[in-house]
Amino acid sequence: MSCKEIEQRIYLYGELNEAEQAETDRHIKGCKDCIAVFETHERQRVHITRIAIHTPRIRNSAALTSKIMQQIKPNVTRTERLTVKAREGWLKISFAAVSAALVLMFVQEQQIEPVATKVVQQNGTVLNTNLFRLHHQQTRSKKGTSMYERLTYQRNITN
Amino acid sequence: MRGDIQAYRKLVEHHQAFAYAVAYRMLGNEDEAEDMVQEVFIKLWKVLPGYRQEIKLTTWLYKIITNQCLDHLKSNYRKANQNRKSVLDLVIQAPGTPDNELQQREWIVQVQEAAAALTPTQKAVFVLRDLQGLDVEEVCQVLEMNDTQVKSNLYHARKAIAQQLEKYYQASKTEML
Repeated sequence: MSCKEIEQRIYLYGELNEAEQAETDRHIKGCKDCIAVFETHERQRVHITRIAIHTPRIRNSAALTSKIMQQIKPNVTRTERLTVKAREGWLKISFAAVSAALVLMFVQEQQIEPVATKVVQQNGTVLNTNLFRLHHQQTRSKKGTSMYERLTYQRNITN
Repeated sequence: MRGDIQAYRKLVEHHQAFAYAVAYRMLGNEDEAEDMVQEVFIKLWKVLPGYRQEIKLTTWLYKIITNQCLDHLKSNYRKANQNRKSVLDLVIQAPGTPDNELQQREWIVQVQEAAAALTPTQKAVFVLRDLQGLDVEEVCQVLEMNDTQVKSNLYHARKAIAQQLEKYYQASKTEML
């Protein structure tokens, strides 16, 4: 092996396997230049190891955590977003369905049962909503339901 | 959701020290390192739902912070070198006699000067392997490099730093004589 290759191995000594280390050792023992390189590397390695022991510290750890946490917003996943949307959609549909059902029930109720009578007395005048309903029913029965009956009724009124 | 945030606070408290160490060793500036840590943890929160458990969380965090620092160094290479306060100024808080501290500081300055001349990738490899103590395989994972690339960068970084230290060593030997 050439000294250039050995030099590379010296700087990567810790990363070599046992066989490579043994081969490098054999070369170094018999080569003055490589011994010098090895010594240089060893001095550097010792100093770097000393430096590496002392980890840089944050000036104010708690303050840094607070700064980070202030900028954290709750994460909402796509599934969660879709679930919320779906829930909102279903809620709207449910409300619409309930409203439609109520209207239908009300209309049906009106057709079957008489409208509740409401009597309002104001300035001596009595207003009975049931009277309007009775009048309307009578008019309708007179009109008839078929086209012929309605036309006959209208003609009679005109005459 | 509230529970998630509380758990995340614990994670931040537990890991911010090592994230700061990497950022500071890479960037050499306290303010920049703190900004970087903030940026990284905010980013981590956003990408956390995509975290794959087969990767160690620390490795993943190393990956995010190292890549952020590398981007910063690459985009701002000259400025980052000029504004350096103390690239590897790690011993300020270390206990020791004043003489030892002074000597240690001298060595640090030398390493700092040598590290300033390294490329961002060489610096990243050097910081992760020699200062953070990651093994080669982990460095490969973090930097998404192969074994040969990592070793090549490591060789150049160590050689540059060794040469700088050797100059200092020879000069102090001459002074002593």
